[in-house]
Order: sequence, then structure tokens, then C-alpha cells
Amino acid sequence: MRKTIKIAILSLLCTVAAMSVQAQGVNNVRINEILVNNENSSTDVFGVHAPWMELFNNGYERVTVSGCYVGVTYADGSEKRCVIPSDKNTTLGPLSFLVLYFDNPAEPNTSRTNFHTGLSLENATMVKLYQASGKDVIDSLVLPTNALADVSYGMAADQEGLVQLDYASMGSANEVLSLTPRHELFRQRDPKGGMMALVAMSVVFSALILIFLVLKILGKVMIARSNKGEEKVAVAVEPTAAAGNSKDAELAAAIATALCLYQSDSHDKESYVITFDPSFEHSPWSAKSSEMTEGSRIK
Amino acid sequence: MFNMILEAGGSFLLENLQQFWGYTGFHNAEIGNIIMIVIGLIFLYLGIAKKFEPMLLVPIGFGILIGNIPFYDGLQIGIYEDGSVFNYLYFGVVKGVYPPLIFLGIGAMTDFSALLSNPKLMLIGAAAQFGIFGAYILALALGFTGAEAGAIGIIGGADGPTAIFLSSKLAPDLMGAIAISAYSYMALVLVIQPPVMKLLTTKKERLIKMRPPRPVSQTEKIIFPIIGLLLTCFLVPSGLPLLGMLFFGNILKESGVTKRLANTAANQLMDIVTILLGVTVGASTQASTFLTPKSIMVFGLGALSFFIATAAGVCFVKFFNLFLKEGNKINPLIGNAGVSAVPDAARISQEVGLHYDKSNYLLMHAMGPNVAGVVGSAVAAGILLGFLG
Repeated sequence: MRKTIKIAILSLLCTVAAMSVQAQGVNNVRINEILVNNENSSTDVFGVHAPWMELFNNGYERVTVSGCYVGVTYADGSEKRCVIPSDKNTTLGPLSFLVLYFDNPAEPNTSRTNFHTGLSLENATMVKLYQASGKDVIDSLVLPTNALADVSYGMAADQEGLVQLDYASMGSANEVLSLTPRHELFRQRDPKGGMMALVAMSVVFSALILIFLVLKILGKVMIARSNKGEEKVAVAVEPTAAAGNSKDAELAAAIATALCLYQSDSHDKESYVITFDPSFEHSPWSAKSSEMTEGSRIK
Repeated sequence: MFNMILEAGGSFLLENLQQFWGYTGFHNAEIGNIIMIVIGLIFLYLGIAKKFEPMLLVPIGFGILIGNIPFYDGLQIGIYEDGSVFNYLYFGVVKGVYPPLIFLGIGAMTDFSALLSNPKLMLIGAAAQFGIFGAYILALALGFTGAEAGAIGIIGGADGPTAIFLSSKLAPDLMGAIAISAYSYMALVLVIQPPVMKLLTTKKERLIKMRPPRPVSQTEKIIFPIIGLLLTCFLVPSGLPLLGMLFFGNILKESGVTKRLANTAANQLMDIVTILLGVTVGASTQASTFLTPKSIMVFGLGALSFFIATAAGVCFVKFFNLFLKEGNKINPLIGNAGVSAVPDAARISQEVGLHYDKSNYLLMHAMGPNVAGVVGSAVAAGILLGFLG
């Protein structure tokens, strides 16, 4: 009973931990780049020049954004929302991207897929990404007024707020971002290196502690198994010894030892004469008629 | 007429001789080449006469000579020139091919029994990795970039292939200095470690006798590489090239059914890769790229990382002993073996232990943290690569 309660508590703790990790992961997602006015820039899979927004997972763990909401606030103050559906592609790996299209619902050619929100950016002032609860905002972006055609706006590592990017980089790092290497970004966040040391040592210890625990359990199992084996052997041997045949056993051991010593000492006697056993049997290997060249015969 | 021919021939000959002189190393030699050649000779001396890690120092030392023969560019002979033979061989270093192959051989040679019989020794291997991150912090303070600091820090892991693997990914420009530094200090652990060990331990602690290790079954030996691989690589996937090959080599050895493969990995393959790795790393230390203030700082930080790693290992054992019952205590003299440097670091534990008690044999106990250090440094390299790569 106690064991069951322990397992239940452990499972509950694991679930809570997993949920908190997941929630933490979603908070790492950022609205990284947006193209509001798409006239001749990239098209979606249906060949439509739809406005798009790029999400970026800023963390080092996989997160799923399915269930989260994309909200668009319009100039009149109204807001429309769309839920990101469940799909294997809405799971973002570490430092990876996801592109969502803002279709104009009036556009006849546009089909709906998981990555088309069905929202329009016409007269929109702000875009938001909500958590699955629909209450907490993960990230938001105030759209540029009079956004230029085919020009994307995004976040740059060393600049504040939204900046106009040199070119649209849908699904990849913004041009300014790519100029700053990852290790430098890491250094900017952790200039002294203390955080890295702490995290890395924790991971090293965790890995080796895990192995230590598994080996300890494995060792105990192995010791228990070998003890069991020894007990079985002892039980099998006991009756003979108990029957008072210990003298016979000693005798047998002495004979066996003597035989072993005799055999290890004995060798074949060598005559020290090297002999050949000539074979006159006919064989294709020795047949002179089968030789390839005449000249090789010794006369 | 004859004089004219003689004059014309003489000037032609002189021109050609002058041109030939321009080709020679004597003409192209710079002071940097001479310094590096002297360093190469010192490596050869240490390897041959003093027998300090000869398998590494002789190929590296001779590689330094090869890499510092002066010549003019364009002959397609230098290690950094596209299309040269050495450049092709160097490919295995640049792309990180050789270190995992070395790890395969190490795995096929290593007996993890000492660790399996007393798994708590594994934690010493983790503690000694403080050397890596201590050096990382110091390197950042000295103005190195994050990637360079990570590559320098790994010297503290005292594992040559790991250092080469990580530096080739994070800071290729410093790879020569890092590799030379790592191997030099590994060869000099006999000089570096004992003073730290003596300084941090009391006489009573040095006399602690540890319980003899229990016999380990073959099943445990077979299960270990599987568990080791799964646990470490699930946690740090970026360490897969090194850890994957290490444990693969070990299962070849322990499975008992792939003896030929294990022998090849541990002998022929290991020897071939060691030759290629040593000579190309040595040859990559051309004076123009090697003799820089950064290299000197790398050497300084490398030495510090070894001191920190040794001290961390010893101090951790002392701390660990606070929680262990009498009779189960660990001799802190095996703390130094947490840095990889297999098996030299373990030998030092043995020698220092015997110095204080002629009947206290610590070698087998020290092999536990020693091999755990190999795993720990590979995990640390994976973390650095994951964060900074």
C-alpha cells in the first residue's frame, strides 16, 4: 500500500514537473518576424502572396504551440483570435521556426491548412500570441504603421524593438540575428560564465549520478543472484558431505590433481628426425600433364 | 667565344642557384619556425628520452617539425594549403573524425570493472570537471570569446581527443595550441598533481585503506555500456560522437563475441588514428598561427585548469567522506584521478599512496574515477558544444 502511494506521489510530481517544463517552454516562443504587406514576396504552398508571421523558439527544448491562440487587434479596438491546431509541425525544436499565414478570407484561392490562421492583417495594429489558457500573452508585436510592400519587420539581437529587415527571411534567422554567433549571445547573457558553470556541472553530476544509481541497483541484483547460486550449490553438495563421504571426495580430488599434473607434464616424444611421406597417388595437383607451361618442368 | 659561352653559362647557373636558394627552407626560415622546431625537439626528447607519453609526444613532436619546415606558398605541401597531402590528412581533425575513432579504441581497451564494483567513485569523475568550467570562467575574464573560452576550458578535462574534438568545432584557430597544451599537461601530470594532492590532504587521510573491490560479473560489464550510452546521450545528445563510440568500443570488448573487432579497434585502428592525429595536430602548429599571445594564455589557462581539476577531485572526496561510514571511506589521494588522463592519473594516486604506506595499493580504486573522468569530460564537452556551438 505504502509502495503504491509512493509511486502515485512520484508520478504526480513527475507530471507536475513535466507540465511546468512545458509551460516554461512555451514562454520561450517569440514573434520573430512579420511581413504585413505581401505583394510580390514569397508565396505559400498554394502560390498565394499571403502576409505571414514567424514564431521562433528561443529555448533549448522542444515546445508545442498547438492549443495556443494567435490574436489580431484592429484599429477599431476589436480583436479576432484563432487557435493553432494540433499538428506534428506545430512542435518547435530548439532554436527553430514556425511560419503562420494571415489569409484574407475573401481570397478565393486560399485553402485552409494548419498554418493558415484565417485572420486578416488589414487595418490591424497589433498581433499577439496567447497561451492555451487564452488569458496570458506569451508575446505581442505592434505592427508598423504604413508597412512597406514586401518588406518584413522583425527582432534584432542587438537592437530594441521591431526593426525593418534587409530582406524577408521566412523560416530562418533574421539577417541581423545571424550576424551575432550563438556563443556571443550566450556570453552576453552570462558574461562571467558562472551560470554556464553551474548549469553544466549540474548536468555532468546528474548524468553520472544517474549512472551511479543504476549501477548500484544492478550491482545489488547481481550480488543477490550470485548469493542465490552459491546457496544452490551448497545445498547440492551438502548431502554428500553429510553422508560422511568426505574422505572419498578428498581421494577423488587427489587423483584428479595427480592426473592433471601428469598430463600437463607429459609430452609427445620427438624423434628429432624430419621425414617426408612421399605420395604417389595421382592427383591433378601433381599431374605433369596439367602444368600450364612446358618450360617450368625440371629435367 | 669560349669566354662568352662561359660567361653566359655562368650567369644562367648563378640565376638558377639563386632561384633554388629562394626555394630552400634556409632562405624562407623565420625566427618563429626555429622556435617551433626547438619546441618539437623538446617534445621528441620528452617522449623518447623521458618516456612521457611517447605514443603521443613523438608523433606530435615530429609533426611540429614537419609543420614548421619553411617554404614559400603555392607548392601545395603545407597543411593549410588546399589539395596538399597533409591537408587531406588534416581533414579528419578539422571535421572531428579522428577523436571519435580514438574513443572507439579507448572503449575497446578500457575495463570498467573498478567503477562497476564501486559505482560511487563515478561522482569523483564528475567533480573533477570543475577544472573545465573554472578555466572557462577565467578565459572569459581574460577577454576570450564564449566559444574560445569553452574550447580552452576543455583542457581541464585532461582528455586529448575530447579537447581536439571540441576545439575543432568551437575555436579551430586555437586547436593547435589547445591540443598541444592538453597533451603536454597530460604528460606532465606527474609533476602537476602530487603537490596539489599533498597540499590538500592530511597524513591520516592519505593512510586510509579502501575495501578491496568486489568481483564484477560479465553480465554487468555487458549492461554497463548500454546503460551508459542511453543515460548520458539522452541527457546530452551533443556528446554522442564521443560517448557513442566509447561505449560501442566497450561493448565490442565485453560482449565476448566480437573479440576480433575489439582487437582491431583497440590496436590497429587505434594506432593508425593516433599516428594520423598526432602528426597532423603537430603539423598544424605552424609558427605563424601558433606563436601568438593567445597561445601563451591558452597554455597558462590549461595549467590552471589542471590544478583546479585535481584540487576539485581531492576536495570532493574529502567532502564525500563526511557522509560515509568508517570502513567505507575513500582515500582522497584517488581524487586526482577524476581528470581523465588514463591511466597516468591513477598511477600517480598509486605512487603517492605507496609513498606514505608501502602496503596501500590504490591503483585499482583510482581506475574507477579515472574512467569516470573520461565519461564526465565527454559529457562536459557535449554540454559546451550544445550551448556554444
